[in-house]
Amino acid sequence: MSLQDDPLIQEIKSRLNEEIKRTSDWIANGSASTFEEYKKQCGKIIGFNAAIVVIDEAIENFTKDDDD
Amino acid sequence: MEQEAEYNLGEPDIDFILQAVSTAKAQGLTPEQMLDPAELAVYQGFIKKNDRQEPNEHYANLVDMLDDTVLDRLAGDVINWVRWDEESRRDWSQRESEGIRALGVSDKVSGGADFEGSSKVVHPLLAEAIIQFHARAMAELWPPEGPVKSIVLGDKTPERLAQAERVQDYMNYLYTEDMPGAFEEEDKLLFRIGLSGSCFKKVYYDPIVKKLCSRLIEPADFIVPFSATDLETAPRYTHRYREMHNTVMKKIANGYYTKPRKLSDPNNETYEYPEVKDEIDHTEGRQRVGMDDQRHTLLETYVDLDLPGFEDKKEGRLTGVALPYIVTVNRDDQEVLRIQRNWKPTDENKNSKVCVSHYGFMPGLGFYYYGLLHLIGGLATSATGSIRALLDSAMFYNMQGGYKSRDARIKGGDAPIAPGEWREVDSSFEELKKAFFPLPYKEPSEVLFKLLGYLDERGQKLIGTTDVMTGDANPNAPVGTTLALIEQGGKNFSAVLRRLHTAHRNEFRIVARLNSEYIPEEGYPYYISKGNKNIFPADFDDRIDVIPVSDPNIISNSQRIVQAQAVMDLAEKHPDKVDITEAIKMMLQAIRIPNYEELTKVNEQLAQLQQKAQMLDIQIKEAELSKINAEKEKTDAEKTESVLRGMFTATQTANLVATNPLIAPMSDSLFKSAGGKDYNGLPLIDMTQANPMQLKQNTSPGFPANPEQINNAQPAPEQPLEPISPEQGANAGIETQRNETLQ
Repeated sequence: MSLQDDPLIQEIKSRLNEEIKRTSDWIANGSASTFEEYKKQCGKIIGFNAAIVVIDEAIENFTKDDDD
Repeated sequence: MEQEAEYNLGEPDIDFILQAVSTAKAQGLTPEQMLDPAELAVYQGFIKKNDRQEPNEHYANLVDMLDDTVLDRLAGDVINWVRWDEESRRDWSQRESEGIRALGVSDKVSGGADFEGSSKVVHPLLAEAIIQFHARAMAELWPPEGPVKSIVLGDKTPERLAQAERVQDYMNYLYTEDMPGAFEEEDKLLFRIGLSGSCFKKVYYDPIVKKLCSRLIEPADFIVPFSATDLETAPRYTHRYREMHNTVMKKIANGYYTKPRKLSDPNNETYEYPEVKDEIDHTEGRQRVGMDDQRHTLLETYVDLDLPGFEDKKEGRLTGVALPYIVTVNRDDQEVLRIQRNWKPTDENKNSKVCVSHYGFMPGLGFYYYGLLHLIGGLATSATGSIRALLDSAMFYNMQGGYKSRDARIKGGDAPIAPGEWREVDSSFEELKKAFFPLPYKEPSEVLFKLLGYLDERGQKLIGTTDVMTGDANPNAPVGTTLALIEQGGKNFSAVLRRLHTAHRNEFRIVARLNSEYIPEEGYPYYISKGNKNIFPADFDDRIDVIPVSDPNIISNSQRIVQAQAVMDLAEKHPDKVDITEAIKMMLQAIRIPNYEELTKVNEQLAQLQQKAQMLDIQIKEAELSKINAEKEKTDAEKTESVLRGMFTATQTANLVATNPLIAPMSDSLFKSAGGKDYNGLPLIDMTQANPMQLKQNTSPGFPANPEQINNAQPAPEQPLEPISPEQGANAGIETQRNETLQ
């Protein structure tokens, strides 16, 4: 079983995507009453996305080291 | 049988007895059970002797621990050795006396005719050679900063370099400040080497002044056996010196000398004055009148001895090896004053310590070196004879004499005519001519004059004096030519300088060893121009070597200057390959500029300032770069914020549109005009084709016409109105920018 298929990793990524979606919906609904609040929610989305990218890169590097 | 008889008559062999005792002990027997009475007596005597308490201090005086019989025999031996050794070098002594005479200082110089009024002039060939050698050697061996240089043996760590600096500073301080008479003794030594060839320096710790001393020993007072070829292999050597009665008393009082049974009145001493000493006194124009100098004659002999009670042992058994001692004997009373061990306490091999350095001019065939008196003494005597003959001849020629007839009638009798005088006579010119007959004296011989020049030239050539060294060189000659001339002319002197360099190094090593023995463990403070310093005995370990500051490859300062000039030329021509600052330093050092480091500091300060300016320049550029980067970041942030603000506005608008779908076309138009893009490809209303009149300004409350309006608008309610659904807004033509990563 590859690390990508690991249930824990899958769960973390799923939770992150869920958060991203929920925040996006919240923004799309026009829930941000001020620009500051809107910026904060956008930052959260970017942060969650960055976390998913970091996890993917770490898994890729880890797998590559193992192969070497 | 014969061997057995001899064995029975002789004393039992201690080695045999010790072996027997060892066997007995292995068998559980006592020596008393194993040995017969005679053997037991010898064994017990041996044990008693070897259990004898030795002095705590290794270098203590051993005289009190020896029997008087042993001491008397030893005193007699030392005096006899000195007498024999003196006798064996009688010819050398005579030649030394002649050499001193040839120097021309006394009136006893031989050469030329000896009659009343004869010339007594002495050719200065020998004196000139010695003076030149002395001056050149002194300049090279003893610069004003001191004669010692230290070098680090092995890795040059900061700790070792600091140790080497401490050793060098202290040694130079010793030689220039703290060692009584060091410079004066060196001065005399170089003169005597030039003259006699051999001279000695003794370095020792003086128990009265509590300091290290470096003393010149004249060759007449340093006596070695006939067979000796060098100090290291000589069976013994003796320093004869005369010590003030009061100094002897002081040394007895502080325990350095043992109190003798008898100490004769020094005025009644029977000192056998060496012939050379008489000659020296004569040159100085003084003579002994009575014996009131209150001095005793002492003989300090360095010799290997097998002293009873102090025999060499290995694993408890006698080896029969004689050990090195220093024996001091009062020659007048034939009594031993001191016996001291002469090996290091830590030296298992018990090798003799040499505390005398032999300085030599030119190696001879035996122990003594040859000096200028041996090398050009004959030439100097011949030159003196020649110059005297020339002067005598000139005198006879200028003031001629001859025969005079009794008939000549001259007023004033035989009185010689004074210069410019015209004396009256009663005779005619013819009569006068007949009355006098001058002897045929000739003018000074041209051949003899040339011969004198030849002798002088040969002498100068031998001592290696060239025009370059006497200041008569061609000032326009190239540097290379001058250097070659100096080196060629100074080859003889270079070899002598190398010998002196080696002897100096030996002396410095003796001083370093004595420092390691006599400097207190807690250190010895001293004060020099660099500040307050402290030296420790451990500083003089095997990691640091002390050598003379002189360079045996450089024979004169002119050579050093010419070399520095050559380096300067190279540095000017090739500044990328030769460091000009170092070349300047070398030149300043060569021309002996005091504190030249201060001058070079100007350059160093300038270099430091330039370096600082460069650093500042770099820092300014870095700061400018940081500013540009910061400005770029600020612009990027502003741009991002602007985009974000646009998106926020669009979202808000979307919500308005969702609540009021009729304004959707206008919103699309506005969105497109603001640069928005439809990613779903749904056709937006083409504003160019749309009737501008249709694009009316939305005047409904809360519509954000521009970002400022948004900012100035009333704050949104805590929970904004929930739209029907986001999809409805999108279907109505409102499209917000999408983030691809959201997919």
